[in-house]
Amino acid sequence: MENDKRNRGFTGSGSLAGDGSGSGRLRGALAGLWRVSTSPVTFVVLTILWCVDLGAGSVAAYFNDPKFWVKMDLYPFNLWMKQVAPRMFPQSLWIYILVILSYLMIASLLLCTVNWFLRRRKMIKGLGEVLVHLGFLMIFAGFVIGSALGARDQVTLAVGQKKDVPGMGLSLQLEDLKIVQSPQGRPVDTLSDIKVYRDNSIFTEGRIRTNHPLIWGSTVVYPPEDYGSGVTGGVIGTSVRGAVILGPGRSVSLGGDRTLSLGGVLQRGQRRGRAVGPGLLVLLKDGAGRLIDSTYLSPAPGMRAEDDMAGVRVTLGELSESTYGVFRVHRDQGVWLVIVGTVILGLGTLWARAGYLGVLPGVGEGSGS
Amino acid sequence: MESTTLALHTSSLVFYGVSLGVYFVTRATRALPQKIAVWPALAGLFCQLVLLLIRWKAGDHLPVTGLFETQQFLALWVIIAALYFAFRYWAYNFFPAAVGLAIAALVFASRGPMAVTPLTPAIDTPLFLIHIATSFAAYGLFGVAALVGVYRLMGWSGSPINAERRMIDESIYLGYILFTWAMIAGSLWAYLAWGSYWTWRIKGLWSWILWFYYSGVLHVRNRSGWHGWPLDILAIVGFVLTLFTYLGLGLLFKTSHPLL
Repeated sequence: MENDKRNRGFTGSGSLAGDGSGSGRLRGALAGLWRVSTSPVTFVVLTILWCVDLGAGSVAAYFNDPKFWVKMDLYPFNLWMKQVAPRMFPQSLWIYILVILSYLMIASLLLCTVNWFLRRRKMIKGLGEVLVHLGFLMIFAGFVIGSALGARDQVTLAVGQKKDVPGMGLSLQLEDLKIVQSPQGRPVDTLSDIKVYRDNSIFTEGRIRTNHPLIWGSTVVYPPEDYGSGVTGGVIGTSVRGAVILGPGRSVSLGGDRTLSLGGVLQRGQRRGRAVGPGLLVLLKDGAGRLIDSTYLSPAPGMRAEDDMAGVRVTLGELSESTYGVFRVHRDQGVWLVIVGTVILGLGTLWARAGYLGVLPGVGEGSGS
Repeated sequence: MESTTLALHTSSLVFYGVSLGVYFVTRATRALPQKIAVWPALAGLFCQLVLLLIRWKAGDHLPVTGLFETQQFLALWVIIAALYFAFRYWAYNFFPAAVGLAIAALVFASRGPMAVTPLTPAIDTPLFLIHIATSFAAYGLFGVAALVGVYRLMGWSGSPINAERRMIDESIYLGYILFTWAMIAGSLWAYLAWGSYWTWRIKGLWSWILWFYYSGVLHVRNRSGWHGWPLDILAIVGFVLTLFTYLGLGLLFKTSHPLL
């Protein structure tokens, strides 16, 4: 940002402002507005208000609900503002104010930067600070784009299982999941081999672990935030085909245009309605994928381990267990703008420092402001 | 390793204590120049640097994890800044304040475990090391700026050539640049590890408050009306904010950046 003296120089309207004519008054008013908009004082006042609002609001929100921030991180910001913030009003008022102040701050920064380019574009001095401004503007633009267009989802996958990620037009398959343990036997990391499908063909694949997610474009699959082992399928005895194995994403033809597949599982200790885990929800479908019948089979006391499904006798054999993980998938279309912005911002700090130390040719000490 | 750490840590504390003692004795007696207080401080700095290198080699990573190492790093930067000011601006009168701050950081460091521990996968990334190293270097420089602010407010002479304004500028400017890098590295790390470069967590939010605060300070520091006591107050308030962001949040809230 430049000082007021330079801003006054830019407008060059001092004489016109005072000539008393209508156009002179208008130009004077516009010049004044421009001065205020590009003044560092405007930015500083907005910054102070932003800091006070965020500081007080963040502490109050924490004391109202210590998990407030964790819940907020589950959504892209735009979605949170649309769906959650109105329900929380007036407790969310400070976030509405924060958004308004953020946009005002960005407008102030943008105008300051434009002013610099209009007035001093041929001067090396001060370029570092302008790069910092530009970088920050790009970061903010990236944040706005990511918040508006981004998506987040969570998929639970057992080893071998393939699932669609709703809204992102892709499917994930977990090929393998290994738990890395410390020498003391404490789990410290996971290694997950993931395949990503788009239109039923492999789009990308890779191994992910902590700090090394699978990234392609603006979409990222993160290591599982929760994992364990549990029931993922089992052996089912049928009256028409003998024993068949049901597992995640796998259906078995019974002949006569009918298939048997797994509708879901309950783990030990889990309960849904009258169903008690562990157990399998078995589905019988016709050739068009329409449901003919379903049943829940479980070895738990009081639960059925066999049933009749539209003339097919099904009996639960043994349950199979495997490792599963809960994977987060994020899409953020603004992230590359943010990364380019951080690089420019970082370079700007180096340039500014060099200018401050007088390293740059033609730039004396103390140029940083 | 722990005995070596303890020996070097204690030695640096003793040397800094001696430096303070020498300063006050020479000031009272005027028998010797006050600048000789720099030499014990240089010995203390040497001990700290040796400790840093030994722990770096033992742990195979820059030792900036945990309370002990981060406070050591903060003290290191405070001493380096004080020595730089002493040699460049003859700021020997400012020396005891900076050494006092370094001693406070080292005493606080003593509360943390001194064992060298391997990095867990979550923090085994250069981004983490850059994030922490630059954060604590910036904290140290913001502390130095606040001390210079106190000197100016109280009317004490820190430098015989009246370079206090220059000292406050340099501390805030370099501190801000380092803190910017800390924010950049932290955000990239958060993106790779947790899925977003921006998280709505109280530590991150207050770090942004701190960054914007010093952005504001940089914007007003050269404006007329802000050269004198307002800038000193801003530097002091900035360090109070820094302490709250680092210590206050760690003690009062359950954060993503635990203190111990």
